[in-house]
Amino acid sequence: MTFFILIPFLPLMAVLLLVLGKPWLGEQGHKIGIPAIALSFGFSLMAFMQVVSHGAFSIPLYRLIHSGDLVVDLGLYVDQLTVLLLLLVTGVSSVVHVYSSRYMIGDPRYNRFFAVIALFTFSMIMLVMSNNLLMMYVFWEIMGICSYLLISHWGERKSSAQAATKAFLVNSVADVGLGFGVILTYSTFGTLDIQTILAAAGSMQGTTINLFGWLGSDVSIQAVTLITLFLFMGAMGKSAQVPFHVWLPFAMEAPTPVSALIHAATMVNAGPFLLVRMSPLVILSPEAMIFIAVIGGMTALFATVVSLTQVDIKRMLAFSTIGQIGFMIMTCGVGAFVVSIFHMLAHGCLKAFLFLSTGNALRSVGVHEHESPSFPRHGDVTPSIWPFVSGALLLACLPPFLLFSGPYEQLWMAQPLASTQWTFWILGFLTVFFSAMYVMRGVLVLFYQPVSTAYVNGMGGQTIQPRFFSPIHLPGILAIIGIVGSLLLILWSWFAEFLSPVVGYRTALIPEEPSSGTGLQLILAVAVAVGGVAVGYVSLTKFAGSWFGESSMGKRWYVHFLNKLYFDEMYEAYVVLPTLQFSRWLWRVVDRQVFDALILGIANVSVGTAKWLWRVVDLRGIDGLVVGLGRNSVGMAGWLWRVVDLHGIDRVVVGLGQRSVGFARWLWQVVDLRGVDRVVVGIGQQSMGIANWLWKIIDIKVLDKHTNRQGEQAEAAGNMRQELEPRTLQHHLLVMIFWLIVGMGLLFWFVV
Amino acid sequence: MNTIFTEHFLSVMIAIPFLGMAIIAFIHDQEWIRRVALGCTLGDLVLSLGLLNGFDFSNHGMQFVERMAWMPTFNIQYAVGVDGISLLLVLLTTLLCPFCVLCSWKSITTRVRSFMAMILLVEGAMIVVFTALDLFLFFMLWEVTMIPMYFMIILWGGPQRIAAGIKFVLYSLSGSLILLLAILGVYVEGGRTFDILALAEKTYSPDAQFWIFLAFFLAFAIKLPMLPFHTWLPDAHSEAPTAGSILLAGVLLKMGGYGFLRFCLPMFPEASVTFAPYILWLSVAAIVYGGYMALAQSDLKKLVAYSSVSHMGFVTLGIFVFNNHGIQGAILQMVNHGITTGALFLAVGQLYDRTHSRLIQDYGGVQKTMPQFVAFFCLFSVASFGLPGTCNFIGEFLVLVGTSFESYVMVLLAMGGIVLAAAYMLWMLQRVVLGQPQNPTISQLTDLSMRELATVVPLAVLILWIGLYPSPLMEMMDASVMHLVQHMAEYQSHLPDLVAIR
Repeated sequence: MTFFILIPFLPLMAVLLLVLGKPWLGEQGHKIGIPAIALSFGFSLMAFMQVVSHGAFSIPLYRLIHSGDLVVDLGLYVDQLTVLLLLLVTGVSSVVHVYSSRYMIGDPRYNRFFAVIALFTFSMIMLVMSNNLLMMYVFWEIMGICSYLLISHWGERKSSAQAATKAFLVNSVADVGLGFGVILTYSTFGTLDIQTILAAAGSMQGTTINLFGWLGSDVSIQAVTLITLFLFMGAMGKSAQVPFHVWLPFAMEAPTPVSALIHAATMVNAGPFLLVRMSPLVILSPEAMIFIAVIGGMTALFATVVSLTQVDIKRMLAFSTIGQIGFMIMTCGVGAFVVSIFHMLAHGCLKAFLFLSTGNALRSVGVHEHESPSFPRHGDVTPSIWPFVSGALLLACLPPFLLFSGPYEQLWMAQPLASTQWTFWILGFLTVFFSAMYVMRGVLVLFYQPVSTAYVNGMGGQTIQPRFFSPIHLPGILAIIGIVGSLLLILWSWFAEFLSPVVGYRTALIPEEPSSGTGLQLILAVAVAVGGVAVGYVSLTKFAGSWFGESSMGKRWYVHFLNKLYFDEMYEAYVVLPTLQFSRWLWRVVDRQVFDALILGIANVSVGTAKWLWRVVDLRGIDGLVVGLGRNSVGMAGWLWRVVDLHGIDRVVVGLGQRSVGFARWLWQVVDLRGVDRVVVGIGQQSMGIANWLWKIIDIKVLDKHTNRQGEQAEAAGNMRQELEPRTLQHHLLVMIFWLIVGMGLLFWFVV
Repeated sequence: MNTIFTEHFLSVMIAIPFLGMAIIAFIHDQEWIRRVALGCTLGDLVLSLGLLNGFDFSNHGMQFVERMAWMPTFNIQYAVGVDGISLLLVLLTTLLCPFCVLCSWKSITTRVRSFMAMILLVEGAMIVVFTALDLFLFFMLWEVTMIPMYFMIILWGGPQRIAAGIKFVLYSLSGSLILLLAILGVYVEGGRTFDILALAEKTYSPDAQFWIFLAFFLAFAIKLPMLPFHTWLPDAHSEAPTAGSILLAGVLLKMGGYGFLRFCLPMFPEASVTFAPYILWLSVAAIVYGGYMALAQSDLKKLVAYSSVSHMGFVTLGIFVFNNHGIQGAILQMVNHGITTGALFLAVGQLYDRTHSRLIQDYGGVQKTMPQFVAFFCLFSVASFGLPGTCNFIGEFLVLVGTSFESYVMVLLAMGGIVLAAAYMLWMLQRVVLGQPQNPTISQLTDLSMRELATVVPLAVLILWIGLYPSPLMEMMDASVMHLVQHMAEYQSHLPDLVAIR
């Protein structure tokens, strides 16, 4: 079973080879792409057999996210729904690959083209095989970017660049819904695994979500309704439902094979696929289903009418695609999921075929894509008209066959709203009528224009005939498609039985007895379709294009629908431009003048404060203070000098000096000469007397003996000392100084 | 030798850039200066891979811890270690620095030595900031990162560089001042220690929590930057040389987010919960506002810079919902933003090197002359707005899932921000890449050289790898984030009513 992993991984390998081997490949990209996709188709067939005989199986891949209780394990899940879509995707993709290998010859980005369509095929395969919602979301977005890259394939054209941006942005707005739906699903169910969710959906009917609780409102909405609506919002974007349809007509800027593959057969079917995949959840919410049916019906009606007025054949086909997908969505909305899938498969094959034929036709009259605003007319294209006509007729008759023949008609009767049935009938018939008409018109406009308005053709000769899709081969391919289609129609009940395990039924509401009159309805529907074809033919051949008639009312309506009811202009005027203006205003005013001014203001205020401080406080205040102080000090000093110093202190000092001198003189004269001198002289005279007495008595008689004895000893010691320590000049000086100090000290002591 | 590598692994990582600075101081040949700088950054990258190899994913605590007393009087240590939260940011730093050296190989020709020294200085300082276990060490190196950035802007920047440099420094210094106050506050309140782990264990009084949290928050909000404090970012980013822009956007902004996770949440859980509603609304506002701002820009680098404001909104949104998804998403978003925005600045730098113009209107039709470049540029741009399959998507998705537990309206508004992101990026691509070449300069551009390819290819591979297989990265931080969330869980019950409970 594991080898079915090759279904997505062969295209992935092709992408890697094409991207890495780009410098060496030359114009050989298709040699990698075609085998990979074709093999993938082969494996899809095997998977189909496997599912037919053994039922659904799954292949685990790896763990993407593990964060607490949020565990996302990637894996492939293959069931009845998956294999059918796998066949569609890989089948159409193989055909488109082969077609492109001729169609794109001479393109400067040949290998890039093949790399991107292989990447697209890979992501679409992964989308239909994914086992959890997050994985689905991831590949949903990767498909979107592939679409972006292919629309901008000829990005040198301004219109193409704008179309690419527009396509992605419209989708990304819608994908907010899808992403939010995924998050809501996780917070409601606690898992993102699709099968687990679908199994648990029935028990979640009581759960409610209070979305706007922050406003204080207490409006609780059923979780299943909310989840379905948000998921459906994503589907509306990818499947180009009103009001998100605006990107698809512009996506026709892509090369025609891309239009066939992505913008007709596969990617735009992702919306109905999502609804069918989640159908057990969807049917739990009648409100959401009504919404889905209304959106689908509105889109179908609107787009088919608009497609009648378009002058660009690819745009016309684009609007018809929108209309047909609206049809599928509507059938999902009324609960006929199997019908939707059936129509998706048939429409995918047919629309791809129509687009490829258009590419053929355009190329063979030498018009490069649809640069010419008017249709190429009546060139040498007659041989390839028959396949186009037959395809157109089949497309015209398919919806009535599908919608009004199957046993699923009872399902829309099971809708809780009584008027739904009638709405559905009216919408159904109108759509059948108009789609029959525009298909006829497309064919006629392209090939049977009256000769009077014939295209003056100077470049009819230089044609590149695609290898497999030359006019000779086309009827054969058509025949195959026709046979497959009719086989499917014959095997209708088998088909319904086959898909029954994967779709949800609202079993409780199915009435016991199926309504009668199916045959009548079928005949009626086919009649309406044939009527549409007839009216289309007549209006075009007779009124030369404008079937709205010549009345002013008719013309007005014609202009309205020609301009697609001004959706693009309204978005431009009310969404795009205001957003840009708002952002510029926000930047200029709020960011520059408020937030930026905040820090600059703080800085300026700081600098201002600093300057003020410097000027006022520093210069005037402190400086003034200091200068003033200085001046005052000088003045003070002068005053001090003049007054205090000269007058006061000087006088005092001088007076003191004079008095001191007088006092000194008085001291000298009175105290010194008269007092002290006399005392000293007196003491001296008396001392002399005492000394004489002492000398006579003590010295000569007593001390002399001692002295002589000591003298002898001292002489001996002195001799010794003289040997040891010769007397030097320093000694003398030191001794002198010593005695001087002692003497002065004594004198001082005595005197003071 | 063996013990140096096992016991001082982080120190060796920190030392290498500084050693490199010392070595290039003595080299005169410009070519060799570049080679040595590249060698050092690559060496650090290899070492960080070794760090990854030795890291125990099941352990939520700090690993490779080294402690050394530094200024014992104030209880200041040299302490480093990594846990699951910082590991990825260290890896991001070492990953981006070689690209900074490579992308300035040809474009920086004056004062090559100082320029390379600046890059190495920033790298070393950033590794310390992300691994520091000591607040003082953290603060010091936080300051150090500012200086080389300032010089990078004013010496090698664009025409408005002086004003941009001054604004950058003004903002950074105000932030630092507040951060210093916060650090002193927590030092005093937390028992006079700078040990981050010890401080995280303490409980603080409500008043202290309130004020210190506010101070920390303001400092980190300026660095991150959050909404009203973001205006330094576009100017600094657009005027800085390519390497400077990559460092600023890739690594420096992450210091803010890291600060929230390392300080605000574990230390002040109650204050975090009190402030959370305001911060969440501010984050949502930043996401949308940044988108509008980017839409209005006519300057490529400013556009990328404003997109950073928007992306950083997701980081704070994820952190302050306090649950596993949100915080893991926020950390992933930081890493992814580092890679994608770094790559975008790299690519814009490559354009600027050729044309010397940053204005979108001067381009158009680049696809025709530089197909290889355009392939990478487109990849980086779509990764920047979070295309599923590229790395940003995983981070944003986890943050949104985390937010959905708080409020659905915030989720919707943030998703609106993503639409705006797609709008400005695709519109930019439309005007730069698609269309016809409008002037002869564009039609004579040469495609990427081998050296330039060597810078963009690894980043492109990383973008796709993380986008398609993020579980290894999530495993790295799982244990640490879980620990943090459990720590927060007990306070979370009394979340105020400002946020709708679903």
